[in-house]
Amino acid sequence: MNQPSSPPLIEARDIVYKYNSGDLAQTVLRHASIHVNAGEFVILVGPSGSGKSTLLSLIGVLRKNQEGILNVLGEDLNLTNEDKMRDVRKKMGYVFQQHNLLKFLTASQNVEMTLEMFPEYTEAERARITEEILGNVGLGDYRNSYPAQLSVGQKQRVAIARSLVHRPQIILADEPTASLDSKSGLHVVQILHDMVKNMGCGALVVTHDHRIFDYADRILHIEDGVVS
Amino acid sequence: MTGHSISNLPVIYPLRLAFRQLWHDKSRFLTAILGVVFACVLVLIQIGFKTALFESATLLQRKMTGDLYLQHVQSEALWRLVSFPRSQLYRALSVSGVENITMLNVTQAPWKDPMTGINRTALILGIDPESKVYPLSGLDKMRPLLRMRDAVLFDEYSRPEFGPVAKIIREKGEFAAEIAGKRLDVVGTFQMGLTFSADGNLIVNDTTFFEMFPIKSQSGVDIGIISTSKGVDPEVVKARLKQILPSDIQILTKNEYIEDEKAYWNDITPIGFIFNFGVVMGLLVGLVIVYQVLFNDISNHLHEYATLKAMGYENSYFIKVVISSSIILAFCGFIPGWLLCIGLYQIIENSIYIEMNLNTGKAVLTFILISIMCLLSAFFAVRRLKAANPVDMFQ
Repeated sequence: MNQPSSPPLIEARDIVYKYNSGDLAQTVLRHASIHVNAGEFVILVGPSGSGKSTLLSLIGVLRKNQEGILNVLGEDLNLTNEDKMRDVRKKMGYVFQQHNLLKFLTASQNVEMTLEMFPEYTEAERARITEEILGNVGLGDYRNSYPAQLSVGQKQRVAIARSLVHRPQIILADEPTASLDSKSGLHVVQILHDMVKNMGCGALVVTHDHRIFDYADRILHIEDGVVS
Repeated sequence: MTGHSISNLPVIYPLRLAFRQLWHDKSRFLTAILGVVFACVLVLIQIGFKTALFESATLLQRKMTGDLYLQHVQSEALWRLVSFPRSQLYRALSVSGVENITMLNVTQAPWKDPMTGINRTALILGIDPESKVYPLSGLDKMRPLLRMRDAVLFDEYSRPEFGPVAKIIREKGEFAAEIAGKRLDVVGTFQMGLTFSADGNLIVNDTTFFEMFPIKSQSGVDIGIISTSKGVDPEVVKARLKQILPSDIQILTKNEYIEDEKAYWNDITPIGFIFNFGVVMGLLVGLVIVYQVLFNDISNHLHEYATLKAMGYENSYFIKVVISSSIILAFCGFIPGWLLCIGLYQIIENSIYIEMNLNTGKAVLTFILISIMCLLSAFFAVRRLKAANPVDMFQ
């Protein structure tokens, strides 16, 4: 499904990132380069402290780039302001290690929180789309359940539904299977993979879980801030 | 699907989220509401006491006839009057626009219950029975009784500890009483109401008054009451009086006279401070409770808020959620607090025999104070939102 003719959704070149400055400066990314195309399911692996979380947060437009070229969804993030960065983030889907669902909202209410950011959806449309995506992740019967009434795997699937309900162009997932048993983990990755292939978005998944490597179109390694 | 700022989202969204958050943990919601109810009750009771104090302290002034009042500049309050020469009051008659004058002498004295021997403090008003206009309205029909020597009129609204005096008067026509150590006959009743400075009120004529209290000079008067001619502005007459009266005599309009008495209780005595302090303490306790609830709500959802921030929600959205929570708590706490106070006011009125009057003004003022309290709690609590950093979500 690679579409090399189209510009990549994510293009990072020669990224250098340092924490602190002067004598205390610690370089975590050393000329790291990465790209993800539409319809690609890319896995990034690396040991702890290799710089993968920093790279993911830069690509996720959650922190400002310091050095190098960083284009996400056609936006040069070195030139964008905070409002533009937020607009780019709205076109992305984030899946974190923890589900981070609001415990006082039902599954469907948690998912609808994403759609409420977009005024173009009417209440009826929000309800319909939410029901549809919860059905896609196998939780149609649990839409009125609170997180406390769901298993860990079910919660993570709700979190994925919340991340994908607005049809993001990029999915960033950080250890999405870390807190799940093998069956639930594979189910979650299958959902992510299917979404990428069906919606034509790109996914960058950071993981240590070897079981899911088979799903990857490409596997990238990062060590000491260098991507290979 | 971009370009829309979260800050433009309908207000109902953060309000709904705030309500769902509060409603989910009902015990904490209830705790917060009880905190606001407590503050609300304390504020309403303190404001009630304070206004009741002012209302009762100025009762005589409000019931007085007349448009202008003369008193010595050293007179601080109704129960701390200093006499001024009666001749100065007569001089007022020469001023254009003055229709009538009358005088009122005031002091406090013990009323001895003939049955129990227990003393009660009574406010004694000495009036000139021959005045064309009496200091209090409704007394004209009592003129024959007021002319009687050693005769007393008894306020029907005096505290019940005075005994069934009014009933005895109606049945027997008179009642023997001992006031300031002097045997007097209660021959009639009038209706005034309780003040903070005494348990009951009595009226005697000025001859009896000066016999009861020989320390008071007969050439002096405590309060001079002036009625102005119809259609004449009392302020104009006041200005004329100022030109002829010495500077140690204060000339006050009715409003000024009432405010003068209020100022004494509010500023000179510690009572005003005590009631204000009670209001502040109630609000502080409520503020701390609401702050704790809001702060914990934020702290318990930092990861969730950070996730939503990563997705595109702005910090301002969560500030609105916290402010909405504080407004919900203000409403949910105020209404039961107000309803509770309707009953409490009744209980207090029945205990102290002073009208508390839970009116709209007090309710609105209290709601404003409670809302400010809750909003301040929110203001302090939202600082915690800074800890919800989406960057931390990638570990």
